[in-house]
Amino acid sequence: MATSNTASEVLANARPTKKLDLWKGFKTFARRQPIGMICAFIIIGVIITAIFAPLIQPYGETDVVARRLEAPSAKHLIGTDDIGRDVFSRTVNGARVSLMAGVIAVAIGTASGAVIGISSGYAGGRTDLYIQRFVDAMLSMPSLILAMVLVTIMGTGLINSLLAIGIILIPTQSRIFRSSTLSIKQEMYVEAAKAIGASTPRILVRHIFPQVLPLIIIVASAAVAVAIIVEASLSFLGLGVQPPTPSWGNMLSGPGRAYLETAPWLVMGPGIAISITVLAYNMLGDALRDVLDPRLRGSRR
Amino acid sequence: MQAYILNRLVLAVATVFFVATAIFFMVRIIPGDAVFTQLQDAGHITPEQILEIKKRLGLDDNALVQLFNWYKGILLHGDFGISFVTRAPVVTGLIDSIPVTVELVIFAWTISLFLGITVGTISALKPNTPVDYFARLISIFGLSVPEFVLATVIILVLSKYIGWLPPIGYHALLDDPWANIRQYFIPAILMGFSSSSTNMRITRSALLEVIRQDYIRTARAKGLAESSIIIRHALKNALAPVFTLAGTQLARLLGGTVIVETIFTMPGVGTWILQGINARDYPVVQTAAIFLATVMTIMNLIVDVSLKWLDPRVKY
Repeated sequence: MATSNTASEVLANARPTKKLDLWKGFKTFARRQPIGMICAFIIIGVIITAIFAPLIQPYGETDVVARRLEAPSAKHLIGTDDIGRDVFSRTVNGARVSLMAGVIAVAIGTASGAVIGISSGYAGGRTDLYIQRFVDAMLSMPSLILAMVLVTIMGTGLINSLLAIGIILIPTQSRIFRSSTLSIKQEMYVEAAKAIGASTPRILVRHIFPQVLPLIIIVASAAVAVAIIVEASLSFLGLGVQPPTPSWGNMLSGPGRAYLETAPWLVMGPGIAISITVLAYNMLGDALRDVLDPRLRGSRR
Repeated sequence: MQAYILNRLVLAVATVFFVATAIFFMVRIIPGDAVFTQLQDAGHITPEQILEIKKRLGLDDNALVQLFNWYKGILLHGDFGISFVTRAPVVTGLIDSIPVTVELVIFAWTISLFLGITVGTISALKPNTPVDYFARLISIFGLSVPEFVLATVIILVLSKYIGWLPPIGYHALLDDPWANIRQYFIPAILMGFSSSSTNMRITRSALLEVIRQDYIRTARAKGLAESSIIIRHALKNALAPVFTLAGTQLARLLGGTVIVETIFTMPGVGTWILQGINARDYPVVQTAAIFLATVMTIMNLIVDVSLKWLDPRVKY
């Protein structure tokens, strides 16, 4: 079956040692999902922008370089803000915060979700029951509110908000890994491994984990969009990245909204940047899921 | 069935209790915060002043004693504590803000279901046509553009070209019904649109699957009108997952009004929680946690029970 071939191809691709397969998988993906490919390029663009932000931005992101509220011009591509900082430079620099939310928070959430989900599913019985009730409790709080509470406890700021976003990702992630582990656990080869006396850690690492790996790619790619939106929302509400450090969320609050009518460019840069980035992640996530696991098609959330 | 509901209710109570207790201890990890927020205008602070404020806020006892007193108040007198900031009972603040959020969410929910199901159906009936692509693009757009960005754009466009401004001050439903409904208009459409994406996607994929079933072919072969096939036969079955999700979505909307309420300055539950969080108003945060966890667990219970009722094949 064509689809199962693709899944195993991608599984192989996840191991960086097999270069040939990676290239093949890349070409297959580009042919089948041209829109997904475009989105992948947009995301790569955003990542490069974030990494090389200091080289790309024409002015320092916190430097006052012109008169306040200057309209867009060749010198200041999207104008200046209420204290005369270059909006384009701030938008470019804001990509760093988003990238960190997308990478660090998702890594925390997915890694912890995978460890909790896999061990809960594999252990079963009482352990599973208790862990799942704990997950239920976490799920019973709206994620943005939970993130707000966590940030308040740990203190506002970038690192703490990344940690809070990572934590709120755990329950949903771990559910997905748990259900996948439950079915893999029933497989003959797991039983065989047990029969020849393989230790539990060995079974988890050598037999269960590789099967869950493609799922990690899908789950993580879908979580990136969520993480970016939650980070921006926290910053927008004043609980995330604190000014003067620019983030797409905090640029849209405060002065951005106060001068909305007279200086709409203040919100245009970050607004468009975050919309396009999240859109690209969502569409790439859809495309990846169609290729990796057709059974999940159309079942977002 | 009764045993199942009872079992779930016990579990729900346990979950809410767990959440409330966890939040209770979490907000107390940094006990100085509430005190310092209270004293932020005072210049020099003496240890006696701190102790006095702690005493006034009921924070001088051992945390376990505080927890015990808090639960005792709730269970015996329905007293969720006194707000650190307003010095009024927390429940009053919650009760005042609930109608705003409920009205907003009901409008948004209706819009979300109507929009999602209509667009999803059109999309599924004409798969892989320009109409379908456009609908899917709009849906992924709704999923991707954060609410605060969309709200900002809407406010900008409306204020620039129509001269509409977000209303300042809140009109109660009974005082001025038309002004009241009008101020919900834009925020409700915004929230409804954002959450309709999920409904649209699920309607589309479920309907696409149902249309390929044998009984639809049979209905066609019988010569039934296409509209009757779609509405009476296909949608009836395809919408089961949509309605399952609708319950969860309602709970999610109720807990997700913070951003929209902040932008449109509506005195709802979201604003109330945000203020509580910003002021380190522990009783408010704790009560909000109980409220939200209760709403979520009860909605989930209703969803599961009605699913069983709608489809007797569902097993637990």
